[in-house]
Amino acid sequence: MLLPLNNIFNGEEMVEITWLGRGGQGAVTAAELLATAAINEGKMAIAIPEFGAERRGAPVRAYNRIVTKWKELPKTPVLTPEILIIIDPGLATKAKSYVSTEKIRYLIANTTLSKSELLKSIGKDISEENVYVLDATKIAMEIFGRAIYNTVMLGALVGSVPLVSLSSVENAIKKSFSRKLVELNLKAINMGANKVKGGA
Amino acid sequence: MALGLETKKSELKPLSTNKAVAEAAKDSNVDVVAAYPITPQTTVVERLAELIGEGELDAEIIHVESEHSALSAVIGASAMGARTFTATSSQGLALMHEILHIASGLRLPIVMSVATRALSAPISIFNDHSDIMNQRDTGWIIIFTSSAQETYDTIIQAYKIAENSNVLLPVMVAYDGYVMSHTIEPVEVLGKKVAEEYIPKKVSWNRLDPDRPITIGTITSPDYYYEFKYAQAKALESSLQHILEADSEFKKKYGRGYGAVEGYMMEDAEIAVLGTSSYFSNLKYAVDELRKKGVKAGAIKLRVYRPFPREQLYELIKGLRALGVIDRSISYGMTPSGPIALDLMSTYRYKNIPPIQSFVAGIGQRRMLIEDFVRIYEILERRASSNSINEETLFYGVKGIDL
Repeated sequence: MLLPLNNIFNGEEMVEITWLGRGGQGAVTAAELLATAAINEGKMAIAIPEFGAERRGAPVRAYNRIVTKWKELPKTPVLTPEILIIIDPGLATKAKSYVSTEKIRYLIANTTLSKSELLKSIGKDISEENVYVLDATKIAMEIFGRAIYNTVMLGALVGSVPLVSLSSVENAIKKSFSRKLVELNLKAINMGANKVKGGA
Repeated sequence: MALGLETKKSELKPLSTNKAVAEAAKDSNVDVVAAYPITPQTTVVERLAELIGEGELDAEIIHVESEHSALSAVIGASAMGARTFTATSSQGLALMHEILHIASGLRLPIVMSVATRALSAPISIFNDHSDIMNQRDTGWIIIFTSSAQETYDTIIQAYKIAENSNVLLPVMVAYDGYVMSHTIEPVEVLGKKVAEEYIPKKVSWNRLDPDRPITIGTITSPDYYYEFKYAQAKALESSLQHILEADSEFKKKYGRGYGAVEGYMMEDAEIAVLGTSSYFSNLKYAVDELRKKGVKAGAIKLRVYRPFPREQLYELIKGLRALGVIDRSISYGMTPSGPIALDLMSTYRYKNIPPIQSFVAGIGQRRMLIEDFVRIYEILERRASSNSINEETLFYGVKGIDL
């Protein structure tokens, strides 16, 4: 079920998001697409890539900040996110090593673990209603024939936490990818979104 | 009650600062872009090449074999009367060093963007200000920007400043490499109308013309060289008023202006910290935290670095109990070790100023969170209260060193 915005912002002006993946999986692209969608809606948002050694396979973070009011945002890393999206299934149980779980209120993970198993392995006790798990790898394999799951996970985020509309994300994708990849990524977004909404 | 996200009506583009710079060069309708297209180049010229390829910008792009050649090529083009642009970073800027002096000595209105980054060795591809601080005596106007929007606006203003016949000096627009260059933010772009409305093309400088031959940059004897250099020194010094005029006119037309310095919560501030580029945004968030605790803290941004806005900055700092200055580069073998702190201490030597605590931080992009900026204010407050501020720089964030 789609969350109401006031829950997400919880009385605060800013929501901070961390994407956790591995180099080459498109965590940075996912964060950029989210910010692009928000900005194209006229909202104040930024996307910050993590600046690590850009090696394929190494853990990578990317961040978003979205605010209710128009104001300048800091460009520091988000180390205590309120929303954590784990796009690499291998990192689902290791998230604690890369990001503080202290403030997490919403958790969206590419994993075959159950919600309770995931929470247990992360060592975080939040309501299971705010946890979304999906086998994005399987979806990505169906769509791309390869384990490219960043846009599936972006779909899962938008399907659960309505910071931006799905159509804005679709527009961002249309502008960011070459024509052949647009169709596939649109499919990925929609399948990710449907999955967390409890659909097929 | 349902909560809505505030939205803006004007056309906004999601742009990294690199892309915003490319948009600004396009909207300034530049004639010639020269760049070395390989590391440590930024995506600025990559985007410009696309804009030219897509027919959005009618300009000549010259791919050269080094940054030394990139600047040499724009010097040639500028000497012929073209509006020129180039972009660089880190080692690329260092390699330009020799030619930077030639551009300013020839009084050519070249505009260049610099994504500020660390210098080797050891190799670092991350942010600090070692590259730009090494260039502070090259005779260029240097402006630091804090957001993608400000960078876009400042590139456009830079043409207004550089091509002003009272100035005729090259301008570097510097922004934090990685931290800003790769972060996507909303930017309101003005489009190509800005080139007609605000910076209409007019060759205001002596140009090479086969029909009216002149020579420039020729060898000079001790009888003449000094006067050229004196004129250059005076031109840079007096360019500040033209920088401010360009900014006011921009603000009048487009609603955004930045000044030479900016203060945040400075009206009643007792202590303040000065920073450049993205550090100013972070300092503002630290000030908000400190204000909640009842600390009368303020933040200062140094935007125009050369020429140094001595009077404007003095107005902000004169009543303070203590001032912290954060540098992101090291003047080796000097105390204080922060170049900006050093500038302040020397320029206000004969004025009544608060004690200045020099900090070095963020070298090679050592992580600085808002809590680190809060801690810098706390160190400043502690040292001010115990009268222990002296000329020694505090190196914040070095492993094993507690301040």
